Parts: sequence; structure tokens; C-alpha cells
Amino acid sequence: MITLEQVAKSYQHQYDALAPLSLEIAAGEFVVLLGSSGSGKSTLLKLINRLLEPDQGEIRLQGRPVRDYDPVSLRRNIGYVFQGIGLLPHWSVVDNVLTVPRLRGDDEDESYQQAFDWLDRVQLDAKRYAQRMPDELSGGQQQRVGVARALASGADLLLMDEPFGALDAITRDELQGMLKALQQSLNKTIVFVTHDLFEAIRLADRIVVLHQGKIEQVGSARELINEPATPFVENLFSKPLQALDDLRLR
Amino acid sequence: MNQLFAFLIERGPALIEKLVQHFVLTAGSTGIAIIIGLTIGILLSRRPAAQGPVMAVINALQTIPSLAMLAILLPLFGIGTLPALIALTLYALLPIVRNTLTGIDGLPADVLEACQALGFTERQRLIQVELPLALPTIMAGIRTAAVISVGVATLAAFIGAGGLGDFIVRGLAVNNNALVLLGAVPAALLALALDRLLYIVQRRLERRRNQAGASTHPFKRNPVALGVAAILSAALLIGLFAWHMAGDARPTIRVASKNFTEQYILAELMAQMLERHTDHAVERKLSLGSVHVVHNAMIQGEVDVYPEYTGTAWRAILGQQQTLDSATTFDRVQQAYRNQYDLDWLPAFGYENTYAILVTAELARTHDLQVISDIERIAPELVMGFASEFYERADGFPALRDTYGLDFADTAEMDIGLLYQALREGRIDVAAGTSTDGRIPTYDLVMLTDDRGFFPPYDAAPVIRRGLSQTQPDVVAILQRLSGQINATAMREMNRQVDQEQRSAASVANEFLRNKGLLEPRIDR
Repeated sequence: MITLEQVAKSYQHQYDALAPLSLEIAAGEFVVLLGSSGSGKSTLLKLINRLLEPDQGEIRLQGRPVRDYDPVSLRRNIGYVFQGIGLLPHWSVVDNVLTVPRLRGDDEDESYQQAFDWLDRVQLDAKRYAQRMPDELSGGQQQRVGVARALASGADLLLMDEPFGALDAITRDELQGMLKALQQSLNKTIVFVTHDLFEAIRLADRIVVLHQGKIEQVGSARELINEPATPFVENLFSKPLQALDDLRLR
Repeated sequence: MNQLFAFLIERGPALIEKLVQHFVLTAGSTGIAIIIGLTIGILLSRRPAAQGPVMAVINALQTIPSLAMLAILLPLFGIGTLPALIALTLYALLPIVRNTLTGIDGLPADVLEACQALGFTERQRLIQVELPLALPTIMAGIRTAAVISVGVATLAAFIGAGGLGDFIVRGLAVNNNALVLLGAVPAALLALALDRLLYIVQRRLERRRNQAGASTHPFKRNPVALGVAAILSAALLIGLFAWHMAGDARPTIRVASKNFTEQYILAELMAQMLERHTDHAVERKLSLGSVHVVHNAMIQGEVDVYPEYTGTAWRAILGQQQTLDSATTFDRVQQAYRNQYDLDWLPAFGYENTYAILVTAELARTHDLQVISDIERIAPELVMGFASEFYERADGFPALRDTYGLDFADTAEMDIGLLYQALREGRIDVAAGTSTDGRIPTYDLVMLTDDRGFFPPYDAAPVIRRGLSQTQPDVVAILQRLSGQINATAMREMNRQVDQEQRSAASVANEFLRNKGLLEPRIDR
């Protein structure tokens, strides 16, 4: 579905830069970009829907280079979920969910019905919450609306930039479970950015480990743990596992 | 209480007229400033580099004192509503531009980032997100602009744009506090009402904004409908304005005056004669700031007729130094005005209103003062007061001081309406007043004789544009009926009734015309 070929992006400050790298993401796959801050994982995500443009290389979506798409319609057809949630504070929950269908000028009545379905899908009682304003909702509820908004665009591809980073552990766990179930039942392709190792293990079909703008290894959690390709990957997984083991021995 | 009612009933129609003028000036200028200011604010939010220079210019505009702004616009746009609207619009710009810019620039970054990633176009982001979220800040700017406009609009009276300022200027000129309040109180109420009205509009808009798609209300998700509504309201306003300007279709004669009591009365006398005896509509452009303002307005064809004094024309307009007798002065002025300015002097009203160097009777007795030369020896102990205009004129204070060698301890410039009061209360010792002022006898003041012939004769007469006098002989004929009808005693009495009995110039003028039988139709009509 997505092909990155020798894509590079540099900044004057080096932070978040990408070395030339290539990556292939299949339809229906849940891919997690895992790395610490400055690793380039968010940069990679933003290149896909042209929030950023690469310095070199090519990104293709369904075989077609993204630079051939009009950026506005490209974005309207790719779901996006933010760490900052970014709900429009002057619109009610249902209006926020309807953002993209309305920008596109979709049929209002049909979209409106679907918006209620999407709210139910993210386990938010649509009847109760549809007319609430975002600031009346908890952080977890707000991000459920954020996910519903991304799904309501009807996109097959969702880009998620540390969407649960600001939530407490319990809420994060609930939303992770919800997201994984949705992804499987709807067969969506998701590119998900996080720095949280356990989140990556729980959600990903494949994990892309990024370090200082380079791909260290790509593979399932099992492959990364059992056959680390680089010392960095080995360290990344062995340290927390070692810590767990230490606890168990006591 | 009864007096108050009588006052309000007498002034009621004028009050409504001035209030409407004031509202049109304020709403018109604020409306234009909203359109221009929002546009500039939005463009600036897109071009951060331009913000510094553009805001500096708009800020600088705001620091120009209101009267100076009007004075700057005067040669470019003449007198009347247009320059007033321009000045008011310029003042209203700053708060609107600044608040639009602050409102948009202050929006949270994550919201704007979300807009970009969700696929808002620039335009959709502006209309659906930035403007609605910045609305409270922008409306606060608009409310500030409207309130400033109501205040500054009172100054529009100085350039003949009308409004409640007319009452204030006239009230100050004729020393009538009730008249000042008649302008000031409704202006204050208008400011409060506008602020409140805009607040209600703001609440409505906010409520609407917060239900973006909840129903099919025409404005809710339809910026086009909102735009159309705005344009319709603007058109309505402009229509109202045009109707207000056009008045009726008959040829209109615009009678002007300077801003002091006697000028109002003379203008009323002429206006009422024209209303009574001709088919012309008459428009009053009273309270123009000074001889130069009226003179320019006459030359520009913005007003048609006003009362002037031969001496003022001789010295202040024609710049002549010598002092000649009354008849010669009139002839020479008439000749020069016809040749140089295309203006006609009609036969004089019949009295002279010269500058009068006044002292209290007490001071005159103590120092045996009879002629102006007599104050030379005690001048270093005295303070002289006069209106600002008197200082600037060729027949004014510096020339008077040099002619008589007067070396005063100090001088004080003040509004002409306050001059007599100040003299009576001893805050000044000598005043340059006018000889027909009703307060001279009432306040027990003494006029010193001009023993060195400094002041030229000041015969009062109508000055009319030749464009009118040549084409409308009936207007000339009617105004000539006033010729020789007013003597100095009658003028002083009329001035006194306005200044001290607080009657309106219109009713005093009307009474005079009735008593003289001048309102009766002529036999041949």
C-alpha cells in the first residue's frame, strides 16, 4: 500500500532528520514506528500525507507517487490522529467527527448517521455525547472522538502520531485494546508512532525501530526480541526484559 | 422640571435629526472600518513580515489629534460628511486590525496543525476555524472602535458634518450648558447602546458558532449567506446615508455660519426668510470652525451663503492693513470678492460688530480708562484674554499689541463663549470681545474706544456665491429684504436672549422676523 524508496529529509538542526531509507507497508498491516525523540519517526509519518516534503527519494501510495496527489484531497482521504488530539473547541463532538465529510461536501444526512455509528464504534455513547463540547469530555473520551474523526473520513489508511501519549496508563490500555480490535475488524492500514516499547509490542504486526534517522530493524516483536539485528535493538529490548526478570527472581 | 420639558420639546425635532446624523456617521465609519480592518488583519496574519510596518502606520494614524486630522482632511475633501467619515474610519481601524491580528495569531497551535492534517483549505480554515475562534477578540475590537467613533464624531460638527457635536459646539459658543448636555448625554447613551447592541450580536454569533452543523439555519454553515447578509446590511446603510444626504429634490440652498451666537442668529434669519418666501429647500451648515473654514467652503461651492463682516474680510482674507471708512471698505471688499473669489456681498444688515476691547466697569473707574491707549501704562499688571482665532488673524492680537505698545503680564486663549464669564470673574482683566455681545451691558463691561483706528469697520452682510446670485435672483431679492433691518441694539438684544435666556437662535430669529413683518408675503407674490 505504501512504498518509501530512498527517502531522506534533513533539517538545519539535524534533530528529526531522516537518512535515506526504504520501507514497504502492506494493506491491512498495523505498523508501529518505534523510536526515541529525534529518531525521525514523526518526520516519516508526516511525509506520507505531505505535511512535509522529502529532500530526495519517492513515496508511493497505491503505486502512485504522493507528490502527484493534491495535498488537500490527499489529507482528506487519510485519517490522522494527533497526540494533542486537536479537536476544534467551538464544535460539538458530532460536528468534530463530521469535519472531513463536510470539508469534502459529502451528503450531510448520510454522514450524520455514520458519525453516530463511528462514535459507537469507539465506545462513546453517541446519544449522550454527540452534542457535548470537547471541553466537557475527559482526555480519553476526547481521543476516542479523535479516532472516530479519523475513521469518519472513510480512509483505509490511518496515521497516528503518539495518540495515547498524553493519557494515563489505564485509559491508554483501554484505547489500545479498542484500537487493535477496530483495526482487525475493519481491516485498516495503520501507521502508528510511539516511543513506548510495550505499546509497540501490543499493537504492531510489524515494528520499525528508528534511531537517529536510520532504520535499525524491521520485524515482528518476536523477531526483534529473538533475532536483534543491531546492538541498539538488542539493548532496546533486553534492558526492560532484564529488569522484569530481576523482579521475578526476588 | 417644566423648563426641562419645554427645552426638550423645543429641541426635540433637532435632537432626533442630529441623533440620526450621529448614528449614520458612527455606524457608517465603523462599518467601513470593519470591512477594511478585518481584511488588513487577516492579510497581516498571513504575512508576518508586513505586521511591523503596517501596524506602525495604523498606530501613527491613531496618535494624530482628532481636530488636527480633520484639519488635514479639510483641503483634500472639503467640509461635510465625507471627510468626517474618512477621519472616523481611520480612527476605528486600529482596534479592529489589532484585535483581528491578535485573535488569529493567538489561536492554539495544535488546532491549526489539526486543520492542516485533516485537509482544510486555507480559506476553510479561515472561515470555519480561525475567525470563529478569534470572534470574541475581534468583537471586542469592533466595540472599542464603535465607542471611539461616537466620541470623535462629536468633533465632526467643526467641519459641518452635523451630528450631536453641533449642540456641543453651539452650546459652548453661546455659553449654554443645557445645549452642551443635549449633545453630550445622548452621545454617551448612544455609545453605551451601541456597545450593548454589539455585545448581543457577539453572543448570538458565538452561540451560532458553537452549533456549527446542528440544524439547517441559513447562516450556520454557510459563509456565503453570511456574506450576502453583510452586504445587504451595508447596502441598507449606504442607502440610508444617501437618502440622508440627498434630502429632497428641490434645489437646496446651504446656509452656513461660524461658531458663535450672532452668526447662528444671522444664519437663521436668512434661512427662515428663504424658507418662508422661496421654494428652495434650505440646509443649515452651522458652526463652521473659523472664517477660513467658511471661506474655503464657499469657494469650493460646499455652502452657498453666510454672514460675514467687512473688516474681517478686509484684514483676514484680503490681508489689507490700512483702515478706511465704512462705505469705502464695503466697496473695496465687494469688488475684491467678486474678482478674486467669485463671491458677492449683498447690502449690509445695518449694524457693525467690531472687535471690542473690554474691561470691567470697576477697572475702568479705578484707572480712568476710556480709550485703548489708556491701558498701556497698566498693561504689565494685566492679563488679556481672547479667542484662539483672534491671535491668528491679521487684525488680531499681535498687530493690536504692536499698534498700542501693550506689554501684558500674560495672555490667555479660551473659547469665545467663556471669555465674558472669565472677565466678570476677574480671571482675566482685558478681553477682546465683540461690540454686539449682549453680555456687555449685563455683565457691566466697558468698551474702550479704538483711538488709534486699529480696527477697520465691521459691517455685517450676507456673502453669497455668484454661481447662485446670478442664477437665482429670487434668493438675492429675499435676502435684500433684510438689508438695513438690524441695528446694533436689536442685534445685541437678540444675542442676549440666546446667551443669557438660553433661547434657541431659531426662535429668537423667528420672533424678530415676525415683529418686523418680514414673514408677511410681499404684495407682488
